[in-house]
Amino acid sequence: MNKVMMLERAVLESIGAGNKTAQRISDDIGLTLTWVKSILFQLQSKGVIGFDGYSYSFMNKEKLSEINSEDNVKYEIKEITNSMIESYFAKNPKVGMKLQKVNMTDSEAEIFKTMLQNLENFISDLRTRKRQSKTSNQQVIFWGSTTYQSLLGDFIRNNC
Amino acid sequence: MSEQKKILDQFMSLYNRPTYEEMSSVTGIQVTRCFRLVNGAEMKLKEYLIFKKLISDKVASESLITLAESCLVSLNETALKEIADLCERKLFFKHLSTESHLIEKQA
Repeated sequence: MNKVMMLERAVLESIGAGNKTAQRISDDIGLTLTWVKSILFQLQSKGVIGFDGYSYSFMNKEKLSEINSEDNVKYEIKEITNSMIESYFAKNPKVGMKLQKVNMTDSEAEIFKTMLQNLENFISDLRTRKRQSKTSNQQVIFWGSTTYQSLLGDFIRNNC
Repeated sequence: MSEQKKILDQFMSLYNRPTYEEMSSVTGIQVTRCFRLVNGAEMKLKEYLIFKKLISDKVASESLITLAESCLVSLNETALKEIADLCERKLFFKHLSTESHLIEKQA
């Protein structure tokens, strides 16, 4: 399976919004041209993207579905959250992160569930709006909740 | 001087008692100078730092190897896969970074 790193995915997302030259990808994702060229070279050698002498584009849909496989999505989430945790504790003021452990009654849990649903609806709505904005300007947001018991149980299961 | 002897003994033991030629090739210090140092000539600060760095590099890499061996023996498949994935990704990132530096030099 083709494993895709967060850096490669950013380049792919940029190409996904329209075929581009290396320079335009660099402007779009905010990485230097040398980094972009190095990533493009890797993606080309994996057969994911092609170059027509001017701009880069996707090669085939099969590779694309491989890139979006569950394993690769899992890796991406791990890389993003890992990177956010490192940046947060390195006191990067651009990174906001909260993790709380709280007890809730059934009714409070219902309220929380509704609030999360509202948040999800709001974000889904944002995704449907077409905007002319750089890939690098996107906000990266994640949320989720579980019970402590299930988390501890899964942790033991995964490491036994 | 006792600190110098300690450092040289540690170096000799970690690098499997190298010959003066091998010592010179690892440290970048001339062969005749290596001979003098081993035979008691006083070490310069620059030389001390070279030996110190080589020792700490060797200790770090050996402890990582020992740790990896323990992991292979003790951990389950899921945990090993997680470690392998992480190593693979760190190496791939290093590869990308090296390539990007090469492109920069060529430009």
